[in-house]
Amino acid sequence: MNYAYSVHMAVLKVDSEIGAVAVERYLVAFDVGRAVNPRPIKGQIVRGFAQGLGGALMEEFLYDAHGELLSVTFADFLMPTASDVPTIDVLITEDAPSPCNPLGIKGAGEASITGVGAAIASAIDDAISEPGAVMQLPVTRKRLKKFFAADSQERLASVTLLNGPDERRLSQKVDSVPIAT
Amino acid sequence: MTSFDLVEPRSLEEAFRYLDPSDPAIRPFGGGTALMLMIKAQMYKPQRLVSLGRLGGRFSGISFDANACRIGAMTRFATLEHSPEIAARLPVITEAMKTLANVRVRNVATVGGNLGHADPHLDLPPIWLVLDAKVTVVNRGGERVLPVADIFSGYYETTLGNDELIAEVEVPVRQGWRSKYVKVTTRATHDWPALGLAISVQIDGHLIKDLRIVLSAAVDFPRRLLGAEAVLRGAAIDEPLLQRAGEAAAEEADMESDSRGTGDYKRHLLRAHLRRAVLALAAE
Repeated sequence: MNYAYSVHMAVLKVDSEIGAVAVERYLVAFDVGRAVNPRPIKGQIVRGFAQGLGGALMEEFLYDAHGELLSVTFADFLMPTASDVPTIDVLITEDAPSPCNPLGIKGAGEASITGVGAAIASAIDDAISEPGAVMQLPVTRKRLKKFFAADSQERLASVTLLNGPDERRLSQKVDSVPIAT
Repeated sequence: MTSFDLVEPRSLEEAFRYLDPSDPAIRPFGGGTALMLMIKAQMYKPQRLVSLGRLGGRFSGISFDANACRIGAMTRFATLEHSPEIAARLPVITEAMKTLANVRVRNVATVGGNLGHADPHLDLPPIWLVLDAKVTVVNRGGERVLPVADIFSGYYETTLGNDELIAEVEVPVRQGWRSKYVKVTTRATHDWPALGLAISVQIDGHLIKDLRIVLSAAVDFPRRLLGAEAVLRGAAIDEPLLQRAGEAAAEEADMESDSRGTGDYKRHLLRAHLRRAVLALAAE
């Protein structure tokens, strides 16, 4: 038995006026056992992030009151395109090669998808200073906007374009991490 | 998909010979990007489609004189997108192309087809409106010129007759005016907009001398927001003014809830983006 594992870190801005999220910086660190060919592994991780980002912010099966699926085309079920996906940092590590096969290789795909929702949700919680605020994915604008609905009028006056209260703190956290690209 | 005839006339006379205004199964088209989707979804079953793409003459090309730009109705979006003259004199169009559909659609879709389709979510119609563009429409007997605003009469509905073809669009190029189009998507960049907001201003420092505001996507067809315009016209930009303009816009815009947002959320977006757009134009 062996485990492939990854660490996800997100820096994002929350536009509290309209409920929009912009991912500014993202790191996936992934222990793959042995990186036989690092280039396609990095590609796999970047693509995994894109899929995870879709699940975190966009992709949703919606049903009407009668149970009829509403998200039946790619015009309704939206996937991220190049315009939505930022360039990310990838750190491939070989800290724990698998003892179960001669090459020491482990999985290098799914763990780049599965962490994204949690990292984005946690970063949003942090940006709006409300731990545990996000309880449902995808974090659509409609859902995020609800957190600001109560005091949106007060915030309106002070909000500049993209405004995340804890952005500076988050950036410092990430800057202290060695990032391989 | 059932079979149909496709003809590509080279002259207007030839096109009119193929067209029959009384037969709904015979239709003209430009790029056909929207029409193909309707045919594939079996919403429309044509017997004969008449492509206007090879008409040439006034139907094609972009030309400028001192005060106006003339755009043939069969001009493809990619041609607008890559025109250095458009970029220099009507940059709002070049900017809008960055998020308009995708390169495959822009290579095929035409200005005239886009107007005739009258889908309220399209990006170019509100821009034509805010620029105060006019359209020349031709039929067998002659032609008429009308403001782009007068083409639209409802959701996917136009005032054009079945025998009329959109020939060209004429856009005034006014010194001292700046324009901006904001495509407000709420789910993904390539989604249809929840609302489209086009603003054209004549601005002097912080004083708005004159302006036009057009709302699209969230309403049945692109409409000017005259109430918000009245609040802003002749006024100096400050925060209370922008808030009043936002309230006026939200008040006059009749927006329905759909999958891109509730009516309340769209009104909120309208207030926020109107304010941001005016500030951005003032800062240019």
